[in-house]
Order: sequence, then structure tokens, then C-alpha cells
Amino acid sequence: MIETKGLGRKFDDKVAVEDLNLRVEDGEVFGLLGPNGAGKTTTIRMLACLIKQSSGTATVNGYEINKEPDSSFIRSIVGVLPESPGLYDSLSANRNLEFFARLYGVKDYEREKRIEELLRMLELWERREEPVATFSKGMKQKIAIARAFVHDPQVVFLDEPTAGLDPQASHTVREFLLALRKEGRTIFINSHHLDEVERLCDRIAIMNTSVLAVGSPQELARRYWGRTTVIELSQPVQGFLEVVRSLPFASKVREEDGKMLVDLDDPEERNPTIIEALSRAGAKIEYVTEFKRSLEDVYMKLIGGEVR
Amino acid sequence: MRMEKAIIIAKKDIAEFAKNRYILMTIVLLPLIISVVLPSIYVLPINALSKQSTKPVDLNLSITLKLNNTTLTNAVLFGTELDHVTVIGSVVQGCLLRNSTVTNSTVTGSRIGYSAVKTSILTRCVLFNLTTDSGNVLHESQYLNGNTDLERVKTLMFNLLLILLIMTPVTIPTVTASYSFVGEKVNKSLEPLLATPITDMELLVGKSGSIFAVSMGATWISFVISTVMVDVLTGPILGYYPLPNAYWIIGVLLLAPAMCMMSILTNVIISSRVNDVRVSQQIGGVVVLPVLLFLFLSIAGVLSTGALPMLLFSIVVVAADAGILLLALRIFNREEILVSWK
Repeated sequence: MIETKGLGRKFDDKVAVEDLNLRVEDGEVFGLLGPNGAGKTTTIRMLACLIKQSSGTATVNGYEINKEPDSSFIRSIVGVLPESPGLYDSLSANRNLEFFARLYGVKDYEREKRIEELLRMLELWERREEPVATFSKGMKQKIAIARAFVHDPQVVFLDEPTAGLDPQASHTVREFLLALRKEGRTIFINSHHLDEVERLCDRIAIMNTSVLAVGSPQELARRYWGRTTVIELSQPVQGFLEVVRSLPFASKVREEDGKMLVDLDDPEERNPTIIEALSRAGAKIEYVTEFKRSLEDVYMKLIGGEVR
Repeated sequence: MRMEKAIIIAKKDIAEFAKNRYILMTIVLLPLIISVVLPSIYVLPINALSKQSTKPVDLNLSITLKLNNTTLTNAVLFGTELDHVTVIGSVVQGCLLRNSTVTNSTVTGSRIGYSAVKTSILTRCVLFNLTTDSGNVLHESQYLNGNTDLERVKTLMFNLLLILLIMTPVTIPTVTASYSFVGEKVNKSLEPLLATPITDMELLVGKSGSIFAVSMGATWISFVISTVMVDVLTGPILGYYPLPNAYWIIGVLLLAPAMCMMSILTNVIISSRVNDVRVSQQIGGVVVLPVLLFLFLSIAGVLSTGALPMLLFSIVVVAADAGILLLALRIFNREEILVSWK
């Protein structure tokens, strides 16, 4: 479990992170979203004991960050994927992973097995003895991801895991992370790929030096946009808007693109009543669905961008 | 500190050096030039000087007069044995001189030992154990031993060769350390390394250790080669094997490792401020300055070419290393590397 209490970091007078309060449960995949300069990388660096915090405190699996000997324990149980792969280009993929496995103290008999398992999952086993310099950007990123998992860490921090990858490579990485998620480890992801975060993460936090919102993507969408039911009729909806408006729970009823949109607190309970009222009024209903707000909508609303 | 972690890092760095053509060329070519090519060129003047001074002279002295404890000025001496005599501006022929001083004189067909001879013309003389031998003009004369000028020249040349040899452990780290520290920084591979459970000291020792091992390995191999080269080339002419001497042993076992450490630690400090391997190499080149200063002071005669100045200079370098190490340790920590290294 990761827990931060009032965590902050300043670089000279510039505030990178302030009053960060987060709680990430064991086995959870947690996403951290925010614009460039929001403090995401600084947060990961503090939690991985790479840099010290200016204020507050945090624990990773019960160990306090940047306090010896806890820092050493934290470094041994966490895996880190930094923004850049940072591999040794002249060495082979196998040698790169072997080097880090040794530094993490992975036993000889486990090391080879673990490296093979990771390289096979990431579809790079056949090229394990080739120098990393000959690899594409996507392949290098995969090796860097494998490196973060080479010592079977309990907690993994991934900074932009699919940045710059083509769709196929992104898919492989996502599948890899989903497979490892099932093993119950805590995965902490920084990303700009909202779609990816939405698919991978149990919960997300949107931050801009401090946390603006935390929750599952669905929770955030509901919290910031409410829930909207979409009803399409076989006839024009204008004649039926008043039917729905007359219902006491329908707060906002409108027409968009020939469809009826109704904001509701609890669609599961209210939708049958609306359908019944429309049917009684002679409407022929083609379908009823929920208007889904994307994570991007939530993100843009919180960060201050234009929402479609 | 866990040495096994430092060794893992050192082994990785050495594996990287082995794959880098530029580093390989530096490690192989530089010591090769210094240890093989240089001595081959270098010993030629030594041999030439030695050959010139070993022409056999046959003296048949007939001593008829003995002079002790006196000073002779503008005198003409024939067949005289001089002991504790000061001879100035005189003509000396067929004489035996001991424990004397000869200045501004013309000496012919004489035997001079345990004396000081200055600014004189020596023709067909046999000379041995001269305490001073400067500004003289020799014609067909023979040094039996103790030719102080020649010995000084030989010693100076051998010692200069050592100083050039010490350029190896100074120069190799400017290349290897640049790749090791600046290369990792530019390649952004320091962050994943710092995320592992190693200490800053283990990382510094591991990276410095690989550079030290490679540089000193090349230095010591080139030391052995150049010693053998010099001995093989000069031994038959000099009649003895001049190397290794005390100066060389102190230089190779103390000064060379100390200079190597200075070069490595200086590069650690430079790495925190530059982002280009070649710039780092160029700035790192300043480390040769103390060695060059020592070299020039030796040539100029300000420092003697004996073992003591070498020992003292080595101690000064070791002390300087300790100061640079403290500075490097302040710079080489996770926080500094990730936040302040530009």
C-alpha cells in the first residue's frame, strides 16, 4: 500500500508538488494524470526514494520514504520505469536485464527464468542476445518495462509506459500490464494516455501540483458530469419532451441530434418510469442507453481545457 | 558498503568499454605508443652518448713530482701527482689528479679521479668518479665510471620516460570516465540505476573501480613492456640494466594510481556540469597539468631526479585526491544527480 500525507517538493522557490494526499491499496492499479509540469514524475521519484520530499511524508508497503534503512527496503521492493528507457545500448537485452537483476539481488536460478518469462511476454525472447542499439524505440521501451519487473517487485512505478509506442506495441504493453496486474502487485502509472489509463486503472488521481480529484474513471465522470440517459424514438422527440419534464425526478430534459437526453441521479431506478410514461404517451422507443462521459471530459473540466 | 554490488557495476562498465571502439583504441594504442615506440626512439641518444664516451685510452704515466694541499694558478705541470690541489688556468700533461679541483685548464694524457672538473679541455684523459663534470670539452677521453653529466642525462631521460608513462593512467580515465559518467547521464541510464537498492558509495566505487582497473591494468602492462624494452635496448651498451629503479617503482606503484584516481574523481565532478562526452574529455585533460609541471621542474633542474622528490610529489597528489574525493562525494548522490546535474 502507498500512502502519502501532505507530501510536497519544491525546487528552489518553484513548487513541483504540494500537499499530496493519496492512498493506493495493495494490488490496485492506480493512474496519476496531469499536464506537463504537474509534478507526476516528481511524485514517483519521491515515492521511489530517488529524491527527498520538502514536506510531508509517505509510506510504501509500510516503509517510510527517504528515511534509512526504510529507503533501501523500498528500493528493493519497487520497480521503476523512468520517462526514458535509459538502457545500455552496446549490451544485449539479456545482459541489460541480467545486470539489473543482479543489482536487485535476484538469485541465479530465478534470474534466468524470470528474464525468459518477461521477454517472452513482451515478444522479445528471440532477440535477447542482440545489442539494444539495434532495437526500435518500442522494443527499447518494452525492455525498460521488463527491467522494472525483473525482480518481481511488490510495487511498480511506471512513468508514461506507452509513450511513443505504435498501437501494436502499446497493445502488447497493456496486455503485459494486465497480466501482471492479476498477480496482485500494486502498479502506479503516470500517463497522458487517458484512454489507456481508463482501461488499465482501478482508480485515478488528476493532479496539478496537488490532487484535484481521486476515484475510478466512472466515479469521476459521475461526480463531475452527473448521469444522463439517452432515448431514441422512431418519431421526433420534441413532442415528448414535456412528458418526461412532467416527471418530478427528471431535472434536465433536452433534445440533441434528434435524441432525448435526461439527467438523472439514479438511471437504473428511474429509466423504467420514463419508458412507461413515454409508452403511455404513444412514443415508439428504439433504444435507451446511458450517455457516457469519457475520462478526457473529466480531465479537461478539472484542468481547465475546452470540453466537447 | 557491499563490494559485490560495486563489482557488478564495474563488470557491466568493463563490458561496455569492451564494446566501445574508441575506448578500446585508447586503452590499447596509448600504452603501446608510450611503452614500445617511445623507448625505442628514446634510448638512441643514450646509447650514442654512452658509445662516444667509452673509447679506450691507453696512458703511460711517468710521475716524478708530488704536490699536496696547494693552489696552482697559470701553472704548467708535467708528470706530477696532484692530491688535494686546486688547479686554475693551467696546462696539465701526463699527470695523476686525485681529490682535486680543475678549472679553466687544458689537461692532456692524464688520469683524474674523485675530483671536480669544470670548463676545461680534456684530451686523451681517463676520468672516473668525478664529483663535478660540467662545461668541459672532451677529446678522445674515456670515462671509467661516474661520468656525472652523462649519468645525469641518462637518469633524466629514464625519469622523463616514466613521467610519459604516467600519462597513461591520467589520459585513459579522461576517456573512460567521460563515457562512464557523462555517457550514462546523456543516455539517461543513471535514473534506473539509482532506483535499485545500491548506495551512492557502491555506485561511485563500482564505476570508479572499473575505470581504475582498466587504466591501471594498461599502465602496469605498459610499465613492464617499457622496462623490458629499455633494458634490452640499453643494457648491452651500458653494461647494466637501468630499470626499474627506485624512482620508477615509486612512480608506478604510488604516483600512477594516485594520478589515475585524480583523473577519475575530476571527471566525476566535471560530469555534473557537462552533457557532452567530448567536452568532458577536453576539460578532464587539465589533470595532466600537475604531471607536466613535475616534468618541467625535473627538466629545468628545479627538482632533482632522485626518488625523494618523486615520493614527495606522490604524497602531495594523494593528499589532493583526498580533497577531490570529498568534493566528488558531495556531488555524487541521488538527489544531486537527478536534480542538479545539468
